[in-house]
Order: sequence, then structure tokens, then C-alpha cells
Amino acid sequence: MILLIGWLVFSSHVKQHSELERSKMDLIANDFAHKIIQAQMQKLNLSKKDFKITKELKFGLYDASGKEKITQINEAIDFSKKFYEKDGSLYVINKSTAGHMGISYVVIKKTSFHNQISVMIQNTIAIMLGVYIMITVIGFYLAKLFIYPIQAQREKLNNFIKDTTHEINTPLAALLLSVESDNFFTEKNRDYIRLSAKKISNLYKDLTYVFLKKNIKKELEFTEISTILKKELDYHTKLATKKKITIHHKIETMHYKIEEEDFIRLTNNIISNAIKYTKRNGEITISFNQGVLIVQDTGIGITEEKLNKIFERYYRATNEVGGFGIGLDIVKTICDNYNIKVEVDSKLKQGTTFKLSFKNPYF
Amino acid sequence: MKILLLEDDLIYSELIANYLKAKNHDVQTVYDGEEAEEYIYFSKFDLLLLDINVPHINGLEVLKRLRGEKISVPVIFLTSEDSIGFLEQAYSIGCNDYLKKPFELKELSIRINYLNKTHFIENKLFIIISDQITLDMSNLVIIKNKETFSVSKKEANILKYFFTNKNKIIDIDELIVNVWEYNVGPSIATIRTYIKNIRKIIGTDYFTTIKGSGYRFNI
Repeated sequence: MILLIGWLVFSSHVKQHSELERSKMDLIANDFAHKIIQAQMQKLNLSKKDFKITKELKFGLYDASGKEKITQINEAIDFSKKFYEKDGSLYVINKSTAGHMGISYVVIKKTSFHNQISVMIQNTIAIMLGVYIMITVIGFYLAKLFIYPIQAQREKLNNFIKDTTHEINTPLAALLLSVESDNFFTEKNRDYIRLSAKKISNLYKDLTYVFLKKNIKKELEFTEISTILKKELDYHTKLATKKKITIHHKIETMHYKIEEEDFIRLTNNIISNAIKYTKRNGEITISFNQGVLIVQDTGIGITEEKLNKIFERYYRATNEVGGFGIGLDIVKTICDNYNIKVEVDSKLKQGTTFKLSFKNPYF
Repeated sequence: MKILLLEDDLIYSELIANYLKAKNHDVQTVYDGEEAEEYIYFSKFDLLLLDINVPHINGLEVLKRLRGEKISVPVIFLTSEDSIGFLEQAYSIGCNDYLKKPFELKELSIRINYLNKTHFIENKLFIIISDQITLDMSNLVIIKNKETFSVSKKEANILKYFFTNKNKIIDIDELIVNVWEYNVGPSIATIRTYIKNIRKIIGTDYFTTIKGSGYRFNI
């Protein structure tokens, strides 16, 4: 494309240039012819000195048979043409002397035409390169501008998939171990299987929720979410005990228009995070009354600057892989869907508090 | 063997711990990197089993700091990270083995036994230093040409450490962090005396004193 443009520009330049040169040479030839005619009329003698000419031009005077009278040109001239180009030189043949002083042809030759063209070629190439570089830079910048968000999104998704597969791997490994255990039939082992399977199931549900989010039903019934929470707490308490974490809870009866699965997902993510980030022998306090659910842990806490980002999809609060990512994104999505106000308060090294305010509950 | 297990999945951690306990190991479970460091710097472990992806400080970072302190306790990574990049990083930091989840407990046990052998972790062993010299860790004697010499527990441990890290320059600091508990540091003079005693028994050829750096055990 650029080459084509370059070539077009170049050839039109060359044409323009050679026409300009021709008219300049014509002018000189006319001037010489005029001098010759005048010399005959005034009966003057002519010598080489009378014909002043610039360095890059040469001239020749010839009689009707083409024999030279005075000339600086060595090669043979084609008298049948008025103007031609040969071997990088331009020739103009002027016949207006019409035999005066025995001269029929005035020939002007321009030798450096070829050099000028090569200068022009160089200029054209330089300009073409310049334009090419400029277009490339602009194009690259624009492409980057458009591609960047797509790429960032892709990377996030990539991280997310990597994290989740890793997160599923460990409980899966645990499940495999307990299934193959020698003490398969003990109650304890059945608990391991149950808890690991539940963990995998939760992760799976989170995953499908993120990718295949279905629309919530418009006609929702009031569900007694306090009982659901109590039931879920059994699972969490079992896990927490292994880390010697105590879960204190005070849950009052409450109904809300929410799908059971979504409520489980919501609380499960918050409580799992609390257990994950609370140290051994720590405490988690859960209270649910007057439509406000508070989950308070004694974990590492989150710095203020990171606090604003934790609801961003796939954001990780700590630099190690895993955790946090989708969990809080799901919390946010569910809260938005069901008109639940979510607030997070955190103090580094002291703990994090999640406060969910349910709008229009029924007790 | 005293083992520290860093694993944040509570069930998985318990399953592995149960298995190792049944194999007569003393297992301390920890659930995040920070807790792991507290335990490692507080008491001595024979082996660390570290998960990489854990809260607070990841397993790689824990090992990096440990090796930075010249603590050379054997480490096996137990991880879900299956990219070769992680494996490369883990080995370059200085792990001794790397197990990808899921694995069979039997495999873990085999690998632990192997490390036990190569690192003389359990002291109920005869360490054959050369054709003539054997170190009996359980009776704390050096047997040289059928003659026995009693040594102190520290002397035995020092000789064991040098033998495990043979042909390598070991400075006093490294010896202290790996042979003594971390809160007790002996004086340099004490260590020199120990080494002098060992030299007296096994012969002076084995130890080369590297001026300003430490000692090298040549085999």
C-alpha cells in the first residue's frame, strides 16, 4: 500500500520535474535561436562566448544536414524529435533558427537529470519510511489500546481457572486418601469423606455460578434462612475444630426472599474465608438478628487499600495463589441480586468483619 | 522422626498427619506460612513437608527464608502446583523432594524413608564414614579399627552433619543453626573444642580448616 503510494508520488514527481526541466531548456534554446537570428539580421559574428550556459547544461548548433557547427555535445543527436531522454540525459531540439547563420538546429542537453532522479528516489524512500514508521507506531498504540482490556480479562480468567483447579485438587486428594484408607468404615473416615466431598461440591457450585449464572426467579417465596445457616454451621464447625477455632454464634429466626442455594453460597464463602485466615486457637463470631448478619474473624485482616479491591473479580488479597478470588465476587453478585447491603471492616492483624444487611426481611 | 506439616486443607492435613503418626513419626501440623515459621524457628524438626499455596507466607517463601538462614533441614513439597516452573523454583531454592497432589501415602512414606537414609535423620543408625571408621549414633561411640571411642551427643551430631555435607565448606554459623536448638548458641571456642576432640579420634586428615570461613570434611 505504502509502496504503491510511494511509487505514484514518485512517478508524478519525476514527470513534473522533467517537464519543468524541459521548459527551462526550451527557454534557453529559444534564447539561443533568437540570438542567432538577430546575429544574421545585424550581420554580427557569433562565437562560443556568445552562448552563456549553466554548468549542468551543454549546447550544440547544427546545420540542416545535422553536421555540427559549434558543439559541446559528443554523441549523435536524434533530430527527428523535439525532446527526448537518453542515458539519463535530457535533450531539447529547437528548429526555430530556420537556417539563419547556416544553423538549423539548436540542441540543449542536460546531463545531471539522472542524479536528480536518484536524489528524488532517496527522498521518496525516506518519506515513505517515515510514514511507514508513523503508521506502525500509531497502529501499534491503537491496537494496544483496544487489546489491553481484552488481554487483562483473559489473564484474569486464566488465573481464575488455574486457581480453582488447584483449589479443587487438594480436597480431591484428601477424598482419594480417605476412600482408599484402611479404616474406611470408621465414623471418622466417613466424616473426612463427607467434608472433602462437601468442599469439592461447594467449589464446583461456585464455579458453575460464575460461569453459568442463571437469572433469579421473579416470584420468590420467603425462606427460613436462619435454619439453613444453622445447618451449614455444623459443617463449618467440624472443620474449624480441626484448627482449634471456636465459632460462637447467635442466630435468630429470620425469613428472606432468596433461593436456598444462593444463601448457602453466600454464607459459605464468607465463613470459609474466615476459617482460612483465622489462626489456630482463634475465634469466629457469627450473629444474625434484626436482618443483619455479622461474621467476625480474628484473622490477618486486610489493609485499607486492598479492602477496596476485594470484591473485584479474581482479585487476590495476598500474593500467594488461591483463595479469595471468586469467593468474594460471588458474595458481591448475590448481595446485589437480592438487595443485601454488604460492608467489610478490617484491621490488619486483628481481623475482618463482614456485615450483611438484608432489606425487608420477615421474622 | 519429628516432622512439620504445612497444609491449609484441614482434612488433608489431618489425613497425612494420621498416617505419619501411625508410622511412629512425631507430627506437628501448621496451617499457614507464618505459623510454620514460628514452629520452625522455635524447635528443631527432622523434616518439613510444605504445601506451596497457603495463607500469609507461601511455602516457597518459607523455604527461601529458611535456606537464607542456612538451615539445611530436609524439605519435601506437597503441592497442587504442577507447572515445571514451580518445580524448578522449588529445587533452585533448595527443596529435597517434590510431590504432586494427589499422591499415595505409601509414596510419601517411601520418599521420607529415602531422605532418612541419605540425611541420617534418625539417630538409631550406624554411619559408615570409611572402611575403618563407623559412627554409632545410638551408643554415641566412634568405632575405629575395632576400637571404640565415646563421644558426646553434640560431637556425634557435629560429625554427622559434616559427613552429610562432606566436601563442602561449613562455617560456624551454619553448624550452630543445624546442630543446636535455635535459641541456644554455643561459643566458637566450644565448637573448636568439639572439632578438636573429633579430630583426635578419627585423625586430622578428614578436617581441613579454611581460614576465615570454617571447616571442610574431606572424603
